[in-house]
Amino acid sequence: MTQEEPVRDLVESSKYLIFQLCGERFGMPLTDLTEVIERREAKRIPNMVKYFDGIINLQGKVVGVIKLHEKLGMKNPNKVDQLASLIVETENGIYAVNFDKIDSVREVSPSMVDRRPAIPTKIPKRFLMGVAKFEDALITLVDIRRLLSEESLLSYHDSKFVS
Amino acid sequence: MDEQFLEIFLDEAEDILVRWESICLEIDVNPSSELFNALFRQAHTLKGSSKAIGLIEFGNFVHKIEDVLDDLKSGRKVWDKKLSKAAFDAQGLLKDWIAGLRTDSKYQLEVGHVIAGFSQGEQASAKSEKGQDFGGFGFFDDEDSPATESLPEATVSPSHPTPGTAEVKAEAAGSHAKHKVAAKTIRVEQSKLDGLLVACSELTLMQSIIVYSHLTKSYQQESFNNAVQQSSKILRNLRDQAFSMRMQPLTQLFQKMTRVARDVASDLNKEIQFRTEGEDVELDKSIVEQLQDPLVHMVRNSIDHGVEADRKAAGKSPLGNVTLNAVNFGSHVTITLSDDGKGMDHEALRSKGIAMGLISEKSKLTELELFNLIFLPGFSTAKNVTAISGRGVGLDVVKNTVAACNGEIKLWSEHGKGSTFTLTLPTSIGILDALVIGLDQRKYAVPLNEVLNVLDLNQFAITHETEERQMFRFKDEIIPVRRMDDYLKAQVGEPQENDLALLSDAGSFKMALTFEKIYGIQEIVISNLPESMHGYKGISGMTILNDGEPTMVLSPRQICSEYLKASNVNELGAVS
Repeated sequence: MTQEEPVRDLVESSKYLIFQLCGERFGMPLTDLTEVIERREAKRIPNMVKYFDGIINLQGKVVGVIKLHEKLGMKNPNKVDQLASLIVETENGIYAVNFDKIDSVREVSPSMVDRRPAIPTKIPKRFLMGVAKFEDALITLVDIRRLLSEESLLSYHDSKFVS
Repeated sequence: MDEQFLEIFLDEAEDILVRWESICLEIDVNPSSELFNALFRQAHTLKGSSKAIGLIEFGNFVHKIEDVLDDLKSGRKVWDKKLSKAAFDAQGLLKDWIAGLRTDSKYQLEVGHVIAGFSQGEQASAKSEKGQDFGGFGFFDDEDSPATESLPEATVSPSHPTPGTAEVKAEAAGSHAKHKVAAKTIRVEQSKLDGLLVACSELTLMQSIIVYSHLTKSYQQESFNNAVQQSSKILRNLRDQAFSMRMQPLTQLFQKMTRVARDVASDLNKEIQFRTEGEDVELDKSIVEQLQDPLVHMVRNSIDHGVEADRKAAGKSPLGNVTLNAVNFGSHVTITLSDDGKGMDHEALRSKGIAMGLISEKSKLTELELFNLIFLPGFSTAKNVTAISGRGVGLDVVKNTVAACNGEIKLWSEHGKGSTFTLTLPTSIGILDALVIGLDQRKYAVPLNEVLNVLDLNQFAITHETEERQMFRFKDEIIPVRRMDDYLKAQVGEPQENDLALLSDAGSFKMALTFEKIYGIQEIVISNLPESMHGYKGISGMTILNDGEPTMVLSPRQICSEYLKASNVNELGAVS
């Protein structure tokens, strides 16, 4: 996928999972989600990017774990324990995405969403589906699936034997 | 059109086209009205079923071919070289058409003028101008067209419509193909399926005994112990049966090679007797699929470069022999391709190797090491690069493909007498034995087939050239030692003194990689790395160990070749 590709269209009103990450709320399309599991301790593997936490055994499948706050460039000031993981299937494999806790499931209609919000945000534009305006809050909608299928997770350096 | 039946039709059509090809190959050797009749029946069936699901254009095209076959059958037309070629080309075209339909149900090939051409098959005089129009097709002008044009690749290919080939209407087919993965089906013998069902019901029974024992906490009873033992036995059985369903005989692959051999031989005007043996040997379906391109390349090579153009001058009978053979050795299968052509010239290999800087003038190589040179990238001793071989697909690509199937390729050749390529391949993929090792508080699995030896380095005198460079003598060979965790850059705590090492190789180069401890040997199922981790050299996949822990599968072979690359040493040990 290239960066120029437009973000997904929001044609119909659909359900979003609202979850908390480092005290902030985010939304993702419920249809992108396979399940939510309790967070497991991942087995680390060498030579991976910083936001890759390791691998876990999910019902006999090896699944990579992503530290979403790290990927989105957020700090974790409160040291809130991340309690759960979103399981998301992409063309690129299955991933577990760590987050703090589930907030709610809400219906989002296209009219509620500001596709190009004026508010500055740290999240790269290509992952940003927009900002949904609810009566009680503004919630950033993230394209998790896109975020996961984008780039190599290797922090690779060639010819390792030559030091 | 009824899309529900399309898939069924496409599977059936592919089967028919395979038979079509095999009949054509027979007719080619020995034309008889019986065979024309057989071919006619195939065409007839294909026409009937294509029209039944609404592929009218397709049906009409087959109908025209059927007409010609009918004339042949009844003796109104005489079989000749041109018709033979047309029958093969028609098969190729229909195959492309079917492939197109797989991705787009509206796919059509424009065949109007081809039909016109086919029915005038014998009127060769009308060819010259017309022949140009569908030159890529080679329908008429097989004598004066360059060899490339009549090769299988040169028939209509949907993704690259070249001027002169039949026009491809459905442009979208290529781009859609990427997103819409065609549902693949496998045909399975009913007895295999029955066995699977029996094993499943047995397992269900055992499971209910186990659940009952669990509920009543009666673990000490004999019935519980029996059920646990029985279920692991049934499970092993079930697993074997499930894996056997992916097995496929080599019949189709070998038939395809016969066709390739025939086409190449006629393009080069060489007389070749191509024999196949062991078609009923079975291999995993995915391996059979991956083998196709390398084998095509090798068969072409054998006929083009192996078999002499002027055999009389070499004192041989004009008929060149090329044999493709498969033998099952239980855990692995070997496929050999041998020819009685000119073989490899040792001196030519050596001087080419020196010219390319792969070996030094002084280096003494065994014959096998010398032959190994030809699997290195960019190495080809062919003086003339022809359209048939030597078009960029080198034997290094063949070697890599075979290695990707966990196989090996070797060459043995005698100058003046011929060459033999031997491919050794695992019978099935999926489950393999692995050594589970400990390294920096982590466990890793290492496939046993990549481990030559596990050594305790305390029993050897290690020479420390520098801190990084260590080596020892093992069976008259100097073996370099490196730390596995150095390669992985995986140190967590203080570096441990690792006394254990596993010996692995890349080509004829061997090295020892040290690690901390051994946990044991177990069977593992490897799953592929996700795309985002592709290019992780030295890791061949991921797996789950018997304690439920997920882990990486190391490939010491890959690590060895990485080491070679890093230290500018090639597989033969000479510094380039």
